Amino acid sequence: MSDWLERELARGLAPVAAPEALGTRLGLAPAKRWEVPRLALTVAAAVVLVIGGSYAASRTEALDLRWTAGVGVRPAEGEQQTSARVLRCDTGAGMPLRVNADKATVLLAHSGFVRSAHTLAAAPEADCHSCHNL
Amino acid sequence: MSGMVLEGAERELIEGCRRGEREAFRALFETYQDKIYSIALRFSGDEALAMDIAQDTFLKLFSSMAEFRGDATFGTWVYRLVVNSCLDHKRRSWRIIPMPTEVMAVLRAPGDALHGLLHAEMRGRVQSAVEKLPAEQRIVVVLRYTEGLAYEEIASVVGCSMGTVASRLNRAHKTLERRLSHLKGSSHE
Repeated sequence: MSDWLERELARGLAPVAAPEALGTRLGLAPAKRWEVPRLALTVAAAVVLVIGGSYAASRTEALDLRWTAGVGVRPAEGEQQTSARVLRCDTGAGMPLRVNADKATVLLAHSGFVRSAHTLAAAPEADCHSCHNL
Repeated sequence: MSGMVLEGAERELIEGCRRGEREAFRALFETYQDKIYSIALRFSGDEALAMDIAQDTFLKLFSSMAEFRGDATFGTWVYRLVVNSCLDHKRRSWRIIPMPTEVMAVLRAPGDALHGLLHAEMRGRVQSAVEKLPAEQRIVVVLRYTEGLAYEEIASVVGCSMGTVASRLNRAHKTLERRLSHLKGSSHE
């Protein structure tokens, strides 16, 4: 036999590695499990936290009018001071408030638009369209 | 050949398999999977069929572990199982379509990529020629060139004399030489 044939037979019939599927078929190699893409999940969770957090923060800031305004609503003239927890619009409008009961809850909506304090101070109750009609 | 001819680690592995230890089966599989699959693939020339043959061989191996008496080496016994599995499986009827001579001539042109293609084609031609050999010649060729077994080992695996092995290899070589002679100039080193 020629060297050429010997060489070509050795090359053409060289051993190969068994595919992983053989072990799986025999139940000796675990089938490839779906791996949780931890990095993607972490990024997704971070994005949700950032978006959700900023949304919640903006909502809280908008609704917590006391915190934003920093002052209470004064009772209307002639009315006695009550223990009602009163709120005011954070645009700076001072709203006279009639409260007959000892306790009352006053809810003011807030639109987030910006008004100059000067304008609102001139006619506060007339120009705050976003507030509930009290 | 008689008596227990086992290495210590191999004996432990076999004992573990006989006790039904899963880790022992796994270790045995990892030791022999490439050998068994390679023989099956080179004999059958078909990956799917090679998988079936290899699977059958392992199932026989695991189920008949108790029958191994140590008359031969464990490796020889494993080779016997895979050879029997190969001979039991009927070959599929598909064949590699021969590439036209003109295309071969183009592939003979210089260039690394073309050389790679040429070698791949050459391997395909050699494998195809081996697949056409009669089964008893084919198995000795595979054991000789895929596993590098000596004539004596092949004789022990196949269950014939060394003279028979030599005779089968000689006939196979002549047939292959005749079938592949036209490619002789196309192999570049």
